[in-house]
Amino acid sequence: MTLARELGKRFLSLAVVLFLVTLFTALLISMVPGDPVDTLVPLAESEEADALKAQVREDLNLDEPLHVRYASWLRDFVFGDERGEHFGDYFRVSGRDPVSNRLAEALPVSLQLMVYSQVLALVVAIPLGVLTAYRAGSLFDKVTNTGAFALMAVPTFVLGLALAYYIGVWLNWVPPSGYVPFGEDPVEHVRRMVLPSLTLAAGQIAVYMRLLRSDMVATLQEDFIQMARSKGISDQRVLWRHALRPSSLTLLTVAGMNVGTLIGGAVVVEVIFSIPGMGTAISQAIFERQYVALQSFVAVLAILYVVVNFAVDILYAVVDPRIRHARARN
Amino acid sequence: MTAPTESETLLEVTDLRTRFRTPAGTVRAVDGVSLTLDRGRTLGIVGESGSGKSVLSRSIMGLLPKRNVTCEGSIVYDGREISSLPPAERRKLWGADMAMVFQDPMTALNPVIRIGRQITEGLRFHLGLDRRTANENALALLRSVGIPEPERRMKQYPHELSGGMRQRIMIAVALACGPKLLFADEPTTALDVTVQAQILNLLARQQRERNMAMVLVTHDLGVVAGRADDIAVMYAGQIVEKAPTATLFANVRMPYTEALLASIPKLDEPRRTRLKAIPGRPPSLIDPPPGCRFAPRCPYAQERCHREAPPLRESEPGHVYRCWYPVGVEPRRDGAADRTDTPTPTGAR
Ligand SMILES: Nc1ncnc2c1ncn2[C@@H]1O[C@H](COP(=O)(O)OP(=O)(O)OP(=O)(O)O)[C@@H](O)[C@H]1O
Ligand SMILES: [Mg+2]
Repeated sequence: MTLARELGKRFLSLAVVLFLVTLFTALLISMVPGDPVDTLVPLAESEEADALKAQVREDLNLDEPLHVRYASWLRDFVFGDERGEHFGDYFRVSGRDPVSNRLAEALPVSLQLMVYSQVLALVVAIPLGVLTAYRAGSLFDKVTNTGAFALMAVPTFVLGLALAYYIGVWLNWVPPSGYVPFGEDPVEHVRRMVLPSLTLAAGQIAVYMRLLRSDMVATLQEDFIQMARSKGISDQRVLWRHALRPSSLTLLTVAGMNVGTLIGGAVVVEVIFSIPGMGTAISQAIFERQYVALQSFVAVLAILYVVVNFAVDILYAVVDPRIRHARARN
Repeated sequence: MTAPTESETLLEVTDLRTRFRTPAGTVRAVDGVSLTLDRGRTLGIVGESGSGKSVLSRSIMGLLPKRNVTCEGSIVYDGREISSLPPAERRKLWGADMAMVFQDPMTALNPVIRIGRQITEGLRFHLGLDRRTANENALALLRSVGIPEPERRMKQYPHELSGGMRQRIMIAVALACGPKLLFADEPTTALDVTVQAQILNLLARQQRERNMAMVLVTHDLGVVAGRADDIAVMYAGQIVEKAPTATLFANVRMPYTEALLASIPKLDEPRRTRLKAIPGRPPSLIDPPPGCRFAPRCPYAQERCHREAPPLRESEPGHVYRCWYPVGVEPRRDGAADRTDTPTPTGAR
């Protein structure tokens, strides 16, 4: 029963987040100056063009007030339109173009980028956090911390451009831009994802490392660490088996909440490195005033955000048995 | 492994000094402590909070943090000087030769690791046992420390057990690899009164069965009274009196010990009687006063006590104390008349 209730609660929060995020997007896009139809139908002034524009306006409900347009998008998103499409259509002069096609291409690419960068960030940050805590106050600790601080201060787009230029163009180690699907050529896929993942991971590495370090420093003061040491087991074992897990709850929380930052970062990184993911799709939709598509993309990302945070909550219980038991009790 | 002529002495500590460098200054937590402990015997270390009892046991074990700590003096364990051993060599002794039971069982077990693994970890590391043998040993250990349903306990986490149970688990962990020397650092302070005696009895029984030496740390003279062979009283980082238990209780020399004795609640007193605390506070360990460290709180203190630090003197074999004007030695100098209105140590009040 607890599971059903938990899921119910999650679903409710998902619905609220989704509603607010998409409503806000709708508001923002309605405030962009200029008539979207001029962008959607890029034809010179003519009677024919005017007729077409009027038709488009009618089709897209552009004369209706915002809330009506929003409600109609929401209805389609939740229940599907007459063809069962949930994400609506791009408007094209040439005809209808379902957003779901683009979503199917872009979402996996973005997911790859985010997963790679998170894995990279954690793989680098966890050992650094553990070792700087172990050697707290040493030269290694100070240098690493200063480095992390500097890294946090560099904006993503600056770092991305710098990496693309120096490593991609100047050193010519890996291609500076473009995307190759894994299934097509795994090696090339990895080569092209290295720089974008690194760019996206850099800021997170710094944040994760410093978080873990400070929790770990506190854990290392605990009695149970003294106790573990007094068994005579190696310092490595004390650090990794006894200290890491109780120190990682904050890291886990922040990594979950970071999905929002990550999505924002991915938009920038994808544009810099010409990766055809959600970021590219969204910025395109904004430029083209494809508000139906935009709204659907934003909604999908909001779902992603809520789902990841749900997963993090489940992970809590895996990491800390006290939480597991407290949950089982009520 | 044991030498043919195994000496009776297991541990001999000489002039141990432990200092912490802190922003406020150098803390002399242990300041020139010497002691010896024979195989299978119990040494009680008594003193107020902050007197350096825990730092002393950790210094002997070598369990102190590395940074901003200096530890000098000689520690001879089982005929071997261990104070100068490299950390990795020193660590080999932990668990296998000397082990520690910590004060607070609520915080000294790892909250995210199952009980079973916390016990078998040391066994597998030191004795190289495989998982099954280690598990069997752990079960036997749990039974011997009086834990019901050991199979079920092995799979539980510390928060699922009561304080007394956890302390039993800690004892099992400490005993796992059969140490010859056990440090029990206030093993019962965090427990209910009813459980305290059980745990102390358990420790005593295990000690007898294993012929293990024990350093029993406490701030309560009553706890060590019937259990320790010798008692060392610590004050401000120093041993101020040390004697075989019976001798100490019969012939207290140091006024601080006298005051500690007076603070033990008597059985015949009404339950609600407040513990008689010693007035005043221990001196700073950063800048201890030049004379006797207890002088500012001592009812018998004379001018000399504030000026000159008393050396450790022997009054009878094995009984040493640090005082210019010891209790029970007449004639005391001027001011000794005050004694009539201070409580006598062992008399029925
Ligand atoms: N890591 C440390 N850094 C600085 N000072 C310390 C450190 N550890 C202990 N001390 C100081 O050493 C002194 C002795 O502490 P210790 O823990 O040995 O006292 P204790 O006799 O065990 O007291 P309690 O009965 O409260 O356990 C205290 O004044 C304490 O502040
Ligand atoms: Mg202590």
